[in-house]
Amino acid sequence: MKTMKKIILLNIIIFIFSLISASAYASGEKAKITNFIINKNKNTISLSFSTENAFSPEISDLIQSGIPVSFSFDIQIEKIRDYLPDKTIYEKEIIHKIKYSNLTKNFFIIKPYISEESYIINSKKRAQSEMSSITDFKIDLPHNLKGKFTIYARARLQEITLPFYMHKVFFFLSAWDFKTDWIEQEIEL
Amino acid sequence: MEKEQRKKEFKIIIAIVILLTVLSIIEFKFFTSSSGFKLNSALVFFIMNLNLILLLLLIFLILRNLVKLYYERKTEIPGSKIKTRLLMAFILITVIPNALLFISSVNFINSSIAYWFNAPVEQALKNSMEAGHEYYKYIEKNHTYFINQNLKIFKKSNPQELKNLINSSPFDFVEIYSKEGKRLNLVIKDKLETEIPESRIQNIEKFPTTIAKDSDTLKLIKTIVKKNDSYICAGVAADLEILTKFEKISEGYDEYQQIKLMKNSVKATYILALFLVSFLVLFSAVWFAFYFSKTITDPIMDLVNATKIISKGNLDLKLKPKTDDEIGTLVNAFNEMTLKLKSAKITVQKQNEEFAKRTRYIETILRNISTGVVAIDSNGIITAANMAFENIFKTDHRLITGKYYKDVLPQKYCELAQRYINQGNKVIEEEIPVQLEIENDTKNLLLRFSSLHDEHGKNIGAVTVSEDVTELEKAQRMAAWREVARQIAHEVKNPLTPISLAAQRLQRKFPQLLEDNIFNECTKTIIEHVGIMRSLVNEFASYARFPSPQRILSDFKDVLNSTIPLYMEKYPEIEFNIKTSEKLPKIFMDKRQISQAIINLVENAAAAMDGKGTLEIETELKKNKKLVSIKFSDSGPGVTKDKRTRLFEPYFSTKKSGTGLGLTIVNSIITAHGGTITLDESQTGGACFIVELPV
Repeated sequence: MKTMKKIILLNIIIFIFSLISASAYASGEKAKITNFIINKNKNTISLSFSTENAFSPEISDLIQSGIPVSFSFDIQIEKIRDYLPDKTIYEKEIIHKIKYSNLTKNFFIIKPYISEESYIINSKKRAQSEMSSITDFKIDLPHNLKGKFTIYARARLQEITLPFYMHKVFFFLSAWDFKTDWIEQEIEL
Repeated sequence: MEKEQRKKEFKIIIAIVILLTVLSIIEFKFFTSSSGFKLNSALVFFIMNLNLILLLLLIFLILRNLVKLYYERKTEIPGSKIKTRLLMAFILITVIPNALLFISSVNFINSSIAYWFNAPVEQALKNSMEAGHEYYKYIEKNHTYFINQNLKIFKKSNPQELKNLINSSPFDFVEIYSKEGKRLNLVIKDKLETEIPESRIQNIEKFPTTIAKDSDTLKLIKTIVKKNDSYICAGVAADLEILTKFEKISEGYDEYQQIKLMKNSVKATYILALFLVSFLVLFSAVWFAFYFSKTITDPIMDLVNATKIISKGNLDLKLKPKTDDEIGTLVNAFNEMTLKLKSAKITVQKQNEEFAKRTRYIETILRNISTGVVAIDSNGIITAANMAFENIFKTDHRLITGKYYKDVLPQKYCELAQRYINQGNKVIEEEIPVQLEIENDTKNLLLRFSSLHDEHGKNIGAVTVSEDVTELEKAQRMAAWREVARQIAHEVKNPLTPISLAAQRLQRKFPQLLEDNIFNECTKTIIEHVGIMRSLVNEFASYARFPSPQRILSDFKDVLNSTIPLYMEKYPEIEFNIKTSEKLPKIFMDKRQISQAIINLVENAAAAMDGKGTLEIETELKKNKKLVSIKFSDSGPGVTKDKRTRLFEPYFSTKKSGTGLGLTIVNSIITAHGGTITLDESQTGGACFIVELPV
């Protein structure tokens, strides 16, 4: 009888969590990394890529209502090793921020790896493009580094701050959240 | 055990309800407070999700109880029906007003929210925003016009000339940037005493008008225009009041847009909160229904269980009244009843013991008396029979008890019994001598039928007392025969001597007549038959004078071994099969008399078989080693039923030459030794005499 109770309780918990995760997955599955370009110059690597489908209608509406939104880009470089697990040699999180001014009808974007100051764009399309893309991001690697490496990248939406702390209720968050899969590319130095 | 678990569950539910209420209040305060109420985001997340999990847990517990109730009702567990009725009543009482309240509240929320976001408000905000935007555009247009008009001066980039231009224009400052974005020149109106921040030049065709400096006292608006290889910027110190108002309008518009975006979510949140409260009320009602029904069903179930225990005979059970209400009174009354039952049971037990004692006493008497007793009820069903009855009628009381007497008792007996059973209320007591054939054995019985009546005189059956007088009558006949034999011996023997002497005297007196055949044959016949008569009379006399046995502890096998071999020689054509048990104990007997009995039985068997056949002699220890049994089975023609009863009587013989005293003497010897002799049929159809002697 006790085992039966435990099984029922476990089933309910699994059901709830699968519902939550399924809804999160359903909303984030469309976003993906595209145009992943790597340029090597001696021991400097420059990365460029953009994110497709990052701006769902809900996120676009949110931005246009004046709520600041942040995208996070994770970059990792791992050294490929034959008999041991791959070793992470570089990790970086780049955060793009966007805010729309209804008064001036301009988008203010901050891309910290270019400048800490915001720059202003009055085209929505261009603002989205700027927001969702990394252009010529340079990574300086040590001089003596040689061998095969894998470069990973992904993009995700950072927590949105909503009025009335709505962002704390996962029902609303899950609908707007996105996270791309890791994109990977092998290089040899 | 189950009670403790239920108690535990109840505590959990109460804790969940309290926690939910407290957390809901916190959430409500949190949502309604505009500022100053700052919560850690992790705490908010924890509170909101905990509330959700608690709610799910509450739903689970309630559903679990409902499912349990459903199965209880399905398996018809006592108390489940009243539980269901109470539950339904509480649910109905709660659901109907709650549902009405819920529907009206949802409508109210919908209409209220729709009212907040109605078109005029949005349009007003939009218009204000447009006004602000137009203001910016106007500034931008002015700035661009100013730059284009004075392009030559800007190109010269003469500071004094630029200074003069600024001082004479409505603009407050100008800047000139290189194409790389480096500020080449900055000219500020004399009266404006502030620093102008350098702008970050982007490689774009048209710069939007921006606020270059933003503080509580000063706001600068500037416009950058790209002209060939340089960027020219003109700016003004903005009207602080207007710009602040526009910013406020912008903030308000943003907030409005955000709230509008959240419209459905806010609505859903309010409905969810309402739903939560409704659910709480409903679940509280359900839970209270369970609790309330338990306060009724639990004592009832206790009473039911107690009744079951009492019905099994445990009257020491005492229930503790948990409440002082009507249920408590019922429990007290139940305890009082149990107490009275217990005292009544003790009394009944004592009476039963007394009754059982009497019954046992009567049963002992009935078992030990030699008279057979059988009781039959008014329907002719045998209700009881004692051991003597079993022995007489050669049956088992277990086989006849509960059966119709005509089905199990001899017909003659039944015919007699019928007369008495049908007598109704008439009290009859009568002794009837009767001879019955029971399993090939003729028995002389003395029957006494007594009809039974209850205290109202109603006939409830009959009881029959059967006395087996076969042996008694046999003994009486034996005594009579002995007397006859003694008399005959006495009366016949006396005249025999003078008759014999007279015949001898005639022979001596008239020797010449001896030649006369008739005379000679007559006297000889007289003398001869007198001799026969004398020997006959002597045998009678010896039977009449049969002495008491002088019993000593002897081995029966010795007697058998010393007697039988003589007869083996005498009857060579008879096959003697002797089977003696090794365990045969010594018994008290008169060896001479027992030897005589064996001789008589062997002689009797030999005569029956005409000196040819098989005689089996078998000894064994019987009946719990208390009897020695000796069987004499011959292969002769056997004894017919009609002769069996008289077989042991004197002068009864089936042989032409027999005196009829052989078996009579055997019977006398065995009876004198306390044993019995019975006649049965051997396997070959001959006679089988069974002698049983006590050990």
